[in-house]
Amino acid sequence: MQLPRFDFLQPRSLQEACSILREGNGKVSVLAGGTAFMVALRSRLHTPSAVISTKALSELSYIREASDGGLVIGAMTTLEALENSPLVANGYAVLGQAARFVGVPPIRHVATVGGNLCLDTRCIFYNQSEFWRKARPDCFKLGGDVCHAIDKGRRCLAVYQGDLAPALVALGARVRIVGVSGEKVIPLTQFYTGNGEKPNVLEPGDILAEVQIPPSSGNTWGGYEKLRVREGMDFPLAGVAVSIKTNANGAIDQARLVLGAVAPSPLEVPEATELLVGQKLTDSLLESVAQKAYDRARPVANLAVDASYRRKMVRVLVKRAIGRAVSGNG
Amino acid sequence: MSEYSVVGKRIPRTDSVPRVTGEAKYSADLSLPGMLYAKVLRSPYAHAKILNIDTSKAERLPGVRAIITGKDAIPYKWGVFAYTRDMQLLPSDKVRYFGEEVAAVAAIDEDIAREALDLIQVDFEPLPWVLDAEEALLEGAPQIHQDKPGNISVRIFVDEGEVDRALEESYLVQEDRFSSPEENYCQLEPYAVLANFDSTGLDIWCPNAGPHMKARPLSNALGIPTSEVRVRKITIGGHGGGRSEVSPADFMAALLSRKARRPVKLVYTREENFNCVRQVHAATTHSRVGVDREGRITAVDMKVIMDGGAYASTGPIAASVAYIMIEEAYKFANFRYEAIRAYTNKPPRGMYPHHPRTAYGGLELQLDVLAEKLGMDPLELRIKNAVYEGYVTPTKTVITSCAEVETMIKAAEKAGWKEKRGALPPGRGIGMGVGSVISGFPMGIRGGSGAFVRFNEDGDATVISGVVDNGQGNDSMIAQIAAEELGLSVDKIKVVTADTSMTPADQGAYSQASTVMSGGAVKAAAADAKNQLLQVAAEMLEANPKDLVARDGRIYAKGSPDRFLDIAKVARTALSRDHAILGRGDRWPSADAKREWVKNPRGQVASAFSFGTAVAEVEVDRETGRVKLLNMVAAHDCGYPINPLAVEQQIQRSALEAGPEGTLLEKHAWTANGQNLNANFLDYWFPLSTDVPNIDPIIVTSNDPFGPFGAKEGGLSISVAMVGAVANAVQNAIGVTPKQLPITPEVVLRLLEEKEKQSEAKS
Repeated sequence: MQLPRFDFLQPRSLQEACSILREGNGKVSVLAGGTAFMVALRSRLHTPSAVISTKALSELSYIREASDGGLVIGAMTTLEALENSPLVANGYAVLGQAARFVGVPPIRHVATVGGNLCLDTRCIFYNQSEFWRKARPDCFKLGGDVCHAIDKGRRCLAVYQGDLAPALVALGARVRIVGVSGEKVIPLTQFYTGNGEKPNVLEPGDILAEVQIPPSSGNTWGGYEKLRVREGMDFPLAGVAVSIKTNANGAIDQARLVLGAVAPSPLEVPEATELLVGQKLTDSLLESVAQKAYDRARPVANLAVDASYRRKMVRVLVKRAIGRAVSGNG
Repeated sequence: MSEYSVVGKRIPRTDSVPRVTGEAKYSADLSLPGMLYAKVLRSPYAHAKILNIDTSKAERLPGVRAIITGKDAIPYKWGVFAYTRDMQLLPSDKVRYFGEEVAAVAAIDEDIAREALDLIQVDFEPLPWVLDAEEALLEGAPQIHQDKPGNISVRIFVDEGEVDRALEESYLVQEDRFSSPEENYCQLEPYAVLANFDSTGLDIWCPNAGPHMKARPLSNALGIPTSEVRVRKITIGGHGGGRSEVSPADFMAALLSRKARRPVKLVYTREENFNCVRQVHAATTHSRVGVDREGRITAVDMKVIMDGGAYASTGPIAASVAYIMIEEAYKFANFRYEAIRAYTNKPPRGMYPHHPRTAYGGLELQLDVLAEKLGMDPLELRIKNAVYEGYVTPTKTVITSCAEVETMIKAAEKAGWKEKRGALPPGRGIGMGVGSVISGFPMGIRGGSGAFVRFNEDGDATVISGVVDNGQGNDSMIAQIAAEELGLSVDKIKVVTADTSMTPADQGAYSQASTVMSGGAVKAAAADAKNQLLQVAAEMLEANPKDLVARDGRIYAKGSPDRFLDIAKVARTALSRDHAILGRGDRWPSADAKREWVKNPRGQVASAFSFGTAVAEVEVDRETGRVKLLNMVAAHDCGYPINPLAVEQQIQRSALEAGPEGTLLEKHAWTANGQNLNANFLDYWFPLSTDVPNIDPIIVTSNDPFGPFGAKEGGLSISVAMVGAVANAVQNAIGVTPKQLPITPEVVLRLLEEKEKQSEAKS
């Protein structure tokens, strides 16, 4: 399918890019790795007047230790760089695991961290060709007032299907957003809106520039598990990221459990933290944690796999992710 | 010295290198001066009357050169058989599936053509629709074709022996219902056509498995003589049965070109290639199988409902293939088989190597259940029920060459069957499946193949044949056959194939006919040319031509290879004596021409039969239901392997198509209004390389009396056998029969949960 017509711009600096985006007022899109964006363009899900390439913004491609001992990752860093980075592997294993689960190697070679975090939400009634979509009334996400996935649905529940975000939320990451009038750093949890129609807080003129991860201590363990049908390529049908810190006695000091691909944004399970902190891991505790995650996950019938199956799998994946984390494989 | 010097050797296929270097040109790569670009307007309804089409606004758009609707076509309906003509290649009365063609535009670029589509105003009157085959057969269901009451596209009925009595007297009877949704061909090349209609007629390039099969309907639909339609071969990116028939795209590009008086190129999108070419039938199968105490099959009673989609396509063949495969794979005397192919408001379903997976795959699952109940090894049960040379099937087909039992034994040996069956750790399973396919069945006026062989001035020979190479290695195959027959090395053979303006008729590269029919014709033509050559050589050597042999580039009298003539020298001498060496040959199926799919399903069905056994090993994740394929072994009786390398590749391709694709992953899903939910490679689960395990191909030989040098076909029996093998491996791993294909994680998990509930209820 042919691409729609648009102007292609290559700003030399982040500031120039922000200005163009601001002037475009929503009609200009950002192209990073393009692995998801190009598909959306061909389907006419976006018909921007202009597309700006971030290729020239090579200053945004880096993984380095921050002054506080944490990790900073530029938005243009490829997923391939992420999965191969010793800095990531050493203390932030959940992130490396999540990166390895994305797409297939040729996709990870070009797909970027920023692009993955800014993925649009997806729905099997939305991610279709223009011809397909035109045969039915516009859904909420297309500006209409119906939902094709849920009978009498009153808002858009398109799914956020990124793999990295749950891992980064579990690590307590923040993002640095650069705009025309300056920059701000917000927790990644606040980056996502929970609204299927507009999944993140970026406004015209904003660019996600960097991910910042707090320092990790030596006894922090992480695990990521992903539900997919094939051994590659698939977006997560459910994802589970966990980060656990243990103390010298082997009891859990800190724990964060985050679900992916069951809601319009990554979904934290605070009940899991409550259950886990101060405890040593047992099979019955693991069951309780998995049950809390199951209770929180409410996927709806908007992907190619049955929603009740996806929900059941959350329970399985939670146990496996925690198991992977504490076994040290993470 | 071996019997043959060229056939039986492993040679790379002629198309391999050009494909890798990019030299190979596909239809979409072609370009002609002044060429226009076409786009198609498609139906947004599953079923609707076309009341009016107003193209006036679109015609005024600058750059638009031609627009066609059903009104531009003569009232011709395409059908593979005289009694299945139900498809206007551009409909004028109504549309019968979401995405069917309504109009087409040719413009100076694709953007303008696309814009013009939005300016065409179509008044539809939506009609009630039906998407399920069993619902379509109910009284009061929406009528899809006026002259096909009850939406019955095809009904096949076979009832041989005494099925009811035999089942009553059986020691055990297994009864189940199996179901499967649609599959897609997933050719990596989306359909593309370049058509050039000028004063001399139509020149057309498109992916095809047989140009003659396209030329005739195109000439009918355009109202011109067949000789004015030139279809030729072009590099093709996948066929699988879905490139056999004429496509509406061929017709639309031709009609646009005629109207615009310019070449027109039409390239389908991925979505169009999923929906608007052909799909693979969805089906349900109700099956009863009986066995005696010794495990001999007593009777099979099967009822199959197939979802045919909006048009008949190759329906009569598709609805028959399952029973033919089954009665040729196993010996039993009592057989009832009824297949009803129903019309529904979904894309039409076409030819596929195996229809439907629920019938023969279901039977394989049932045989394992019966073996277990009898306390028998499934391998032993299959050996006991295998067919053999001279066996006569219930519908009166005589099996010719047959090494079925050998395929069972060799596949089991290679897979470690005896050591593994029953001894694998929990969650693991190993299963076996058997398949048979037919080669060279009658297809009316286009059922045979012809060939010419001519010698050139330098002593090389050119083979002229109608057969197409779709990647299975047909070009190499006929070159090897001609080389062997002529006594030349294979590099001395040039191949000219598949061009309706110059090559003889050919049945096409489907129905596993290329080797036995086209290869047979080439062998006959080469023999004819050789005899002419030997006549000339006999004069030169002052010998009797009957005493001469041609081998390794030389002609000599039997027993005196030292007194020889170079073939090149003989060929040049012939030319200088005003005797152009020109051999001709043809081949016609040795089947019973009176046998007919619907009206007379009795008699010799085909010219050759091949057999295969597959063994698969799986590991099931009991918490997620995911099945991991660990290993696939496939043994295929190909007759004699003309090119063992190509045969192994075909066996592997068949294993892939039936195993991970057909049995574990692939299916379509639909919205309530008939929109295909997963017409893309993200949501339609086509396996990735990482989903495919090691595949061990095993060539088993038999000497076929009909095929050239004893050859049959390259590996298709495995595309049947592997379905049973993988399904049985899952059954072995989880201890429950999967009755729904493909066996996705959701299916496995549900089966495991049901099993758990049942065992809880019992305890």
